[in-house]
Amino acid sequence: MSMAVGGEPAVATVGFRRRGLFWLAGLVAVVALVALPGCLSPKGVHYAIRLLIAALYAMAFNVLWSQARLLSFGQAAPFGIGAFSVLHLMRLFEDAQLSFPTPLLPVAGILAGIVVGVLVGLFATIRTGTYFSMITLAMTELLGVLARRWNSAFGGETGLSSMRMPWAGLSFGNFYEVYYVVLFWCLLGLGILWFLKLTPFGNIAAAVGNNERRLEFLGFNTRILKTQIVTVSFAVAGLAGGLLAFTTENASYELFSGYTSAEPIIQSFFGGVGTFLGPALGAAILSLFGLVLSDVTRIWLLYQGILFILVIILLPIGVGGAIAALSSGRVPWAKMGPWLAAVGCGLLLLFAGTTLISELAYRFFQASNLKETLDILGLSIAVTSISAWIFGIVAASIGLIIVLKGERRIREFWASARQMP
Amino acid sequence: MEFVVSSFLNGLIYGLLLFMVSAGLTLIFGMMGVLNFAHGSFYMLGAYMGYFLSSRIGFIPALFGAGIIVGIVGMLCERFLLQPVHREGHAHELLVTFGLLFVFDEIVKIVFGQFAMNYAVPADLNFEVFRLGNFGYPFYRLFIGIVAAALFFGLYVLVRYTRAGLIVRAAVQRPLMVQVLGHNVPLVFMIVFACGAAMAGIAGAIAGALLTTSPTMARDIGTLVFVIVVIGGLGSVSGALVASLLIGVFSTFAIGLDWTIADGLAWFGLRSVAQQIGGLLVTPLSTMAGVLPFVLMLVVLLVRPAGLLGDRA
Amino acid sequence: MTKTVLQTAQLKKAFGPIEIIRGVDLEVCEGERHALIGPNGAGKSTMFELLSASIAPTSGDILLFGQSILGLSPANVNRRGLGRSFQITSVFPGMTVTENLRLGVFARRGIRFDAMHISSRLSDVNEEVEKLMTTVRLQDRRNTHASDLPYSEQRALELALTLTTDPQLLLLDEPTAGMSRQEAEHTVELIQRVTDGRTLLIVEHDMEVVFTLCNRISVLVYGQVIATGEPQAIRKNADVQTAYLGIDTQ
Repeated sequence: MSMAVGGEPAVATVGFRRRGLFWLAGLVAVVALVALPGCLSPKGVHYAIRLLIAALYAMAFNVLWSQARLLSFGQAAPFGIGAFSVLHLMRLFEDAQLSFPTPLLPVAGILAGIVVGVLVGLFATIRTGTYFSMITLAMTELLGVLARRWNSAFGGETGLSSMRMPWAGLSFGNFYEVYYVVLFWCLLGLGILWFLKLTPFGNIAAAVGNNERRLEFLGFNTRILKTQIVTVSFAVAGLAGGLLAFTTENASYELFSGYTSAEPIIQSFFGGVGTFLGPALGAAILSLFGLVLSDVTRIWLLYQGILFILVIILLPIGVGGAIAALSSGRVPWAKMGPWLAAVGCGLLLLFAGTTLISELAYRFFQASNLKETLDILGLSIAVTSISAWIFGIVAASIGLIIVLKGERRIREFWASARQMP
Repeated sequence: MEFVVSSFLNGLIYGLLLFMVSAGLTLIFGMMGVLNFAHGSFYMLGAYMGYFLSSRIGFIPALFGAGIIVGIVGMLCERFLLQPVHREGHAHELLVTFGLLFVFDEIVKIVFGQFAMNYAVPADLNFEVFRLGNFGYPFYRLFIGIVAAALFFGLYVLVRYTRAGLIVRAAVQRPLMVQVLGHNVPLVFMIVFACGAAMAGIAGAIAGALLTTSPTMARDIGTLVFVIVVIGGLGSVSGALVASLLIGVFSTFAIGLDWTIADGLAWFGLRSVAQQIGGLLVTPLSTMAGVLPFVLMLVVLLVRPAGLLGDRA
Repeated sequence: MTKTVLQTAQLKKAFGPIEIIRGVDLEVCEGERHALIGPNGAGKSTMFELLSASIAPTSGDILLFGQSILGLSPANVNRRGLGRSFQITSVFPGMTVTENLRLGVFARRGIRFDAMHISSRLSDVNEEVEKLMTTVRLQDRRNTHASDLPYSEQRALELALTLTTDPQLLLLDEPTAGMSRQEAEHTVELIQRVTDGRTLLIVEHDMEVVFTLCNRISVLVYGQVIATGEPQAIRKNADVQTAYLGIDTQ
């Protein structure tokens, strides 16, 4: 897989052979995605749909960051409004005589996103940097409060719900058909974002975050440009929200929460904002992590938080960026190999120890009696087992020390990897 | 009349409490250019530490203890988690603090559970200090105000009149230059971060006894404090004070009032029309109180982004 | 009668209580190679900021091709034919030389919101980019990222970028700053070539460059133009010598 590291697509520098490999990999990925439902249970398909939507939503955020260096804290606004728009459209045709092509329902999300994008964009781009971020935050908070009170539009406390109507012989009652609709729209969205990067508009947009002042001196109105970038981002976010409403058949004011706005930011940086598919990768990994782990343990948010912090510190270019760097063919394996392996082992120890202690602690503090046991990997460990505690603490400590020793080297390595074309 | 006086007093004290938390945040922003999302977590940790220690070492010592512990936690976070990502830019620093928010939340839930703690005002501080009509005004609230004022005064003196304060002020404005002059700027950053955290911790320890102590504390106060810092001016401590008091008083009054926009429109004879439209127009001010700070922040951002007393445009 | 390309009328700029520009009447005629020189702190950078509409004057007027530019945005002023380079190299670091220049060509051709075509397939754009690269002799660097270029080549890119919008009036801010004698000579030759048929206003400290390149000089001291004229006359001007060169001729 070859992804250009460093942000702007220097298409000219990617060799012919690498480009061929790239397209092949893409084709394989698409085929795999199409074939996926065949290998999964209905629950698995549901997970897959959520992953696709999260990936699209994260990509929408990254349009703003990687192009215009705008940190938007308000992605929940187009997401939520996109969701409600699709839901209203669904309700409109619930028992109407005419039928609306069900797979086309998400279009309402795109249109809603565009409208919100123009409005928010025009206002928020008055300011730059942190102020832009705070404006988006404030607008979304207000929207959330509004949604909670406005019963007719947003369903108030309970939200709105609807149903997917059958169309063209398909019932759309099960997740398999929903999956393909979602997949179609996600691939379309991704494709459009990819294509945009190759167009003059994409080139100019990429320069906004790079050197806005220079762009102005070349004669471009950067405020309009930024508004357009916001509109593109919000249109895709609106599509993602619309797809969510399409899938879950409901929406409520909770979609406008701070967490909904934070998710795509976290996922994008986790996956790597410097690569095109980084955010999608980050979204897929973290969403899967959350979905799977929340079934296994009550304190999964702790693990996600720790994982997230570690990745941000040790892998500032994100998981996607790391993959791109490691596969660039310019890695001094002899020098870096041992360090990577050592830190990897340290991380494993740290994780093992921390998980052990956390699970023990959770049971220790929250159990009604101290006879609780932690059942893991076939072992049944008593929460009062001193040896287990000591083992956990020692493992975590050793792991931590190893990581601390190697972290600077590792980070320098990634910094130098950035220079690789 | 009692309502006005007690609301005003309560608002003032609430504002001073908010200031204790936001002073640290605005200082940290001025210094690092980063909004510390985990600042509310320091407040929460302080409350829990206060609760944990007060039954063991007494209430007042517990306040100090909470401040010290949270300060140390803050220092460790800055040194080991934030310093490595300084060079990556503000976005990465912001995200680390975001991760910390989740981690602290979960740790608190693991150790103390997810329900509110039985953290109450100690008996010897729980008396009436004067009467307002039918009600006695609790001394504890005044106590909060006194502690906050003392902290502000101490901070002011420290920053304005000591050499250390001078170095901090310089480092906030021109970190590179100060480093070139031979000062250990990373150490300065650590100390400022620790002090900010400690103040938030003490605020939590005091407030937690009066208000609820629960895992949602961090988020509840977190966003409010951001708003205050922006309105007051990013980096300006005196701005944070003014904004905290403003918001404290406004919010407290708003919660007690049931005015609606429909009431206002009654002046134009449009009350019944407004009531028919319903929705936002008949929502009482008391329910909208939580939103007022955000509206104010939006206005400030669009009109005068430097805030009330800030100097960066 | 040669046309006046740029004219300022009693231009003043104060930052708070400090007046930096104290009433400047500057005139640049068509085809001139006009240098703005003066000691440090004289206000030359501020003049450039004012002339390119980055900042607004406190009072006075600026006329570009006979029309006032007060209240216009930098983008607008650029579209009226003013091109500006920066003292601190201001190119697009994350992009290659080709991509950098392409942006300028888009600007000139009015291609702003084109989301339909693939940039690398636009042949006429590519041709112009080629031409520009050849002019500044960067064609071998077409795929190098701007941040990886050596300093003098970055400055060449800077100049090329300024040229992309085909400005009639070029404002160059210390184009040879930080260069060796040889590099400076190359740059001067480059400037001479590309400003053929255009008007040039240049801020420079290097007197050799000024005397080689320019046919008119204005001397700015403490926010006022104390002398303006042909190079030889300026050289001999007593006021200039005192103020600028510190030579006491009294």
